[in-house]
Amino acid sequence: MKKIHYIAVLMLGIVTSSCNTNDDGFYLNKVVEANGLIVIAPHPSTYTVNEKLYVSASVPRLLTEAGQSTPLDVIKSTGASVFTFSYAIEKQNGSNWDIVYVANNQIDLVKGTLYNDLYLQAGSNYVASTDSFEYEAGFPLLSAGTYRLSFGYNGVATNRVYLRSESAAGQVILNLNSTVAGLDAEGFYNFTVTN
Amino acid sequence: MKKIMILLMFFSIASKAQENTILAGKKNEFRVDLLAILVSNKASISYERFLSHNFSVGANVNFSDSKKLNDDFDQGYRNNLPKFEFNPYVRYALSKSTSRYYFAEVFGSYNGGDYREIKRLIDANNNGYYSTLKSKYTDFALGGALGYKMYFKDRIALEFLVGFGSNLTNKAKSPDVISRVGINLGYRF
Repeated sequence: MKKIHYIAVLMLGIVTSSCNTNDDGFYLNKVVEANGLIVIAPHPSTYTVNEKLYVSASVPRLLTEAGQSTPLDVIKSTGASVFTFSYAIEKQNGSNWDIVYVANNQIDLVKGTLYNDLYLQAGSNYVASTDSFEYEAGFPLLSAGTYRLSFGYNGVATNRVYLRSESAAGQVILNLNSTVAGLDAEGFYNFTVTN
Repeated sequence: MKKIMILLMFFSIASKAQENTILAGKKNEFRVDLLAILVSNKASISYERFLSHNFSVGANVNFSDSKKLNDDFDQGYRNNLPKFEFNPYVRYALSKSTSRYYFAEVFGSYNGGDYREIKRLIDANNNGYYSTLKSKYTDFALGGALGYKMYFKDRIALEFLVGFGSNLTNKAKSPDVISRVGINLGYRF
């Protein structure tokens, strides 16, 4: 019986010694409100097959920050050379929405970097000549149908999108919470493609 | 057979009484926490003064320099880094034996360490930037613990202790919870 007591106290001790972790979390994240950093290229809501849907992002190094009288130097804050965000293009299939995949070489990558997988992970790379982080890519619309573009994989509010800095080790990670024009109340950009 | 049993019981009781008497004559005890050294990379020593059969008072001091906690702190996975604790306590023995017994403890804790937060600063060009700033924190906690203690050779103590305290005055910077957990090896004199 005493052995059970020893074991119980010992086990409880080991469990509780690792319980003092309520202060764990991630404390290098900083959210900054900004507007219009991501743009869906203006276009009527009907595209024709083989047209491309262009999405671009531009983050100035000296960013106007809501509630502050001085601009925010995002490079000095983060040491980053890239800000990333993600989006996906879906096509309606009956009552379902299927993610549309295309080959890398079919995407017109104008600026920045793109990781093309389950969704499109866009990288806005720093361009010294404009002193800003730039991304622009055109996604080919290869068949007729009803489509929508969603930033929902990384958005918190439906009409806002996070651009996240790829910060240097130990530096602040900026999450630029930006509006995107053209999204509906659920956070989708709806369009159709015709022949 | 019955006589042998009675004789054995008598010797057992006599031995226990002698053990209790020996321990009662030794009022002081120093301990080191083996669990803290092995698991937390923490140096933890305690002193206990036995006031009566049931009551004792004491204090524990510990200093922490855990590589894991340091790394987590530097990489932003925690915003505070406990460095030291001074824990005075009062204990009450819950068992009659003085050689093996359960006890309850009430403790205070003056504790401190490093704290990191993100601040917006202004550079020489009048541009803002965010940076992490490190500062010190201290806080005071109150808590309780339960434990079990046993003695070998009338002077060597082995103690298991489990308890929690809550920081009270500086929770924005200090850890919410102070854990008081240990496997202590001690010497009573």
